[in-house]
Amino acid sequence: MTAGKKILIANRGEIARRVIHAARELGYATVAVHSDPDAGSLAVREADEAFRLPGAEVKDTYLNSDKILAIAKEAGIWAIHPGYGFLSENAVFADDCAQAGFKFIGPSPETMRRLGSKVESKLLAKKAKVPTVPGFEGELPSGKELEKIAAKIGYPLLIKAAAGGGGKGMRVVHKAEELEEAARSAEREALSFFKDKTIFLEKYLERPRHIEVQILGDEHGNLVHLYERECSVQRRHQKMIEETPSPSIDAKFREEICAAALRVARQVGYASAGTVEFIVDEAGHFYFLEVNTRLQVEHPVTEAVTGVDLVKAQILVAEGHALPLKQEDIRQRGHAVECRLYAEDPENHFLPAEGSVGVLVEPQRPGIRVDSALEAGKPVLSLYDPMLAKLIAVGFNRKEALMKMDALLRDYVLLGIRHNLDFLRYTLHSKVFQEGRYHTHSVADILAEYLEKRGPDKPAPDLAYAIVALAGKGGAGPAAGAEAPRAEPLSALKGFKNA
Amino acid sequence: MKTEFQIGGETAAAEWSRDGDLVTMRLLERELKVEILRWEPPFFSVRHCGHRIHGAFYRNADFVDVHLPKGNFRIRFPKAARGGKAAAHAGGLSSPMPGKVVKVFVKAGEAVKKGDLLMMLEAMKMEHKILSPQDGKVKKILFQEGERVGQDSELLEIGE
Repeated sequence: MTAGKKILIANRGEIARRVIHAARELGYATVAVHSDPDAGSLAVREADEAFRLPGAEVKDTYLNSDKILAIAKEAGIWAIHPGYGFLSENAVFADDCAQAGFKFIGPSPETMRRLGSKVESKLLAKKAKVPTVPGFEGELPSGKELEKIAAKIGYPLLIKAAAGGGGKGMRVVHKAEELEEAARSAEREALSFFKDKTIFLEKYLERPRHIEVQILGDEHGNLVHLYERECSVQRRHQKMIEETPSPSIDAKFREEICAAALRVARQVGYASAGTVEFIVDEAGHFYFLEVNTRLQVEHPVTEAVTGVDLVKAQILVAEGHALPLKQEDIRQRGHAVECRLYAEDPENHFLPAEGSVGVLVEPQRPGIRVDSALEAGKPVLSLYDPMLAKLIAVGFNRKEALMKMDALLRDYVLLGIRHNLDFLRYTLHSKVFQEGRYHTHSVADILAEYLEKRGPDKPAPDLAYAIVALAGKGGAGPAAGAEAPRAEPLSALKGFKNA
Repeated sequence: MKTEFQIGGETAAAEWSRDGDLVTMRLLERELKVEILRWEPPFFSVRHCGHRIHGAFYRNADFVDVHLPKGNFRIRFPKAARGGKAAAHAGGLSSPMPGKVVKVFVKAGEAVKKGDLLMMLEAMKMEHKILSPQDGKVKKILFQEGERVGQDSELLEIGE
């Protein structure tokens, strides 16, 4: 039935490989697209066909929808899988795919558009009787009127840019005296970044948790949830560790939040895999945040406890099949945790690191899944997302899953580039994580403790210096030193200006 | 034998000797004994304080990364021994990370105050602000919006 049908993967790295493997399992041929620096990547070598997106910058390559569509035409594909990031939530691209006669593997462009708008998705949630964070979305007045609105919501407040994302144009206001100035400066920042100065007010939750629900729907009106993921371990608004089930909720809460997610999804007749995100306050109330109309980075933890392959499910739904499972077929079995391996230096404010993969050992063990596109000898470029790999552990219960993860983090070897493996392990061992009592600001506290031990000024264990001495010339005889070829990642790119 | 390391901005020298598989090292007033059990770069096994320890290392020109069960450590050699990156001259502001200049907020010749936002860098979806370390004047802007910078590239010069 799928003979000769091709799927183009408009992405790179681990997620491109993940989709290639799923598509191949279902009998599809796969088409990779790649930027110039990615020409020799694992995803490109694993795909049945590969096409070049000339350039290195994402806007010229993985965001270049015209070029991707031209390749799709040339390769004669059936569907495009966008992965996450890049074009995955771009409704215009989904429209263009449909017009060109390609299936976009994801929800309909209309669904993407409605849920992609912060204002409309919030209205949909309200209509579905799902609580949203108290706030004010209308045009904000100034002076006394503004203060009145703010007082009604209550302090502390969060000012957000309507067109914003990633913390830009965001301000936390603790008292009325700070309000006016914070509002004006947020407007200026919003204008300079998004050319739109519209801002809105929201109640600021002090120690919130981030819990999301995986949903899966088809084009025949079937819709199920695959339970929650707890994603509160974050740094710089980006997730670092995710787990399921959430250690902080009970069965009743779980039932309520999953039902709420389904009510939101039903408003738009959601057909594909998606994620409804919530924040939860300290009193245990949850509020709708947004819907991600795509595959999430952290989807493997859900797969690990439910046994459902979400990427294959997306493809089957895109083919027009009905979901092969009913709600009562889906259970959470055991516990899964995911750690994101980032090319960044926790000892230096999580700044992105560049370098090359000198030594790499990715352990394979029962209950361990490593979604990675790393290869020894390959450069890691700051052009793209700093996430290098996802390490997933599944156990009979949480304790076992965390023990497996600890051993995996200890034994995973990646040398030649700064990364966060040690900080992940430290976080895993922290009291708040072990007890499952963490919130979205916990990482800041954990980092402060970590830096006491592992700050840039702190010496390494003595043994490390001895190894370095031995690794030097004349140390351990003629075989001394793992002299891997020195990669020059920056100069490998044309047009780079680099000292 | 002698090997120099950079530890917290300071240079520390280690004196060490090797007798067969036994290595004795003195560093920062401490003595350390290590028995080499296996040395197959990048992997090694040693005995230290009665424990068998398996690890790996990766040597580069400026540093060696060492993997131990305890964690991963980057050991740097002293700057002088690295053979030559010219030290950034006074008043220069360099990039703390590789990335792209997304915005330049000042012009050459403009007066700035300590803490003023001068430049915005971006790498891997992350932004980093370059702030003025002092009151003064922008003498030179070495990169424009949209240009890529390497780590430690000099970005601007601030003078009196």
